[in-house]
Amino acid sequence: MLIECVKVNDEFQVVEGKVLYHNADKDKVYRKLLELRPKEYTIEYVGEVPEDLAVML
Amino acid sequence: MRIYKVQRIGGLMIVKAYLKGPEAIAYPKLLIDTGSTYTIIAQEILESIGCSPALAEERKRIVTASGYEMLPVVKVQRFSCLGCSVENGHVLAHTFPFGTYVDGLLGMDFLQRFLIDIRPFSGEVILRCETGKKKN
Repeated sequence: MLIECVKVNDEFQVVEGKVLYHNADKDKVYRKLLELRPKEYTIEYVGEVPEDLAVML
Repeated sequence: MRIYKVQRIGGLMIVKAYLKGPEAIAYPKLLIDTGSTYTIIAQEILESIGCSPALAEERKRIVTASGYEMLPVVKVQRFSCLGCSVENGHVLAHTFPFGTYVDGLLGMDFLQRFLIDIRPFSGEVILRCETGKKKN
């Protein structure tokens, strides 16, 4: 979800905002971000995280 | 002393940051990564705040698990995380294959500037001194 922030707390979590766009595909969210160019925003993933998610960088 | 409760995704520790550029402010979600020399932010996030990686004058050669990458060095007006801030600092731009869950990495270039304890067991980061800047 691409969210335009109205209010964030001191840990930068959104307290109040407006959802500008949502899509399961993050690339599409990024594309919409560059199209809309909100002045203050965050992107939140609200789906389930796979239990077997593993990362190696 | 301040205690920050981080978000957990699997065994990973995620925090929110503040990123200010000339055109916008973003609050990216970053993976705490003590194995990363640099703080790295998704290219699209940097582009959106007016700090285009395409205009970067410098690149850093980074060793990754799968080889070498040349990443653009991007200057941002302000970067804050865990109660600590850096003015006119630099981050690297990259696109992550696991970007669904995070927008970048919080690397040692930021973490080593402050008196921070990272506690994976409890999912906490403890900031011991908010003015604990010690290195450039």
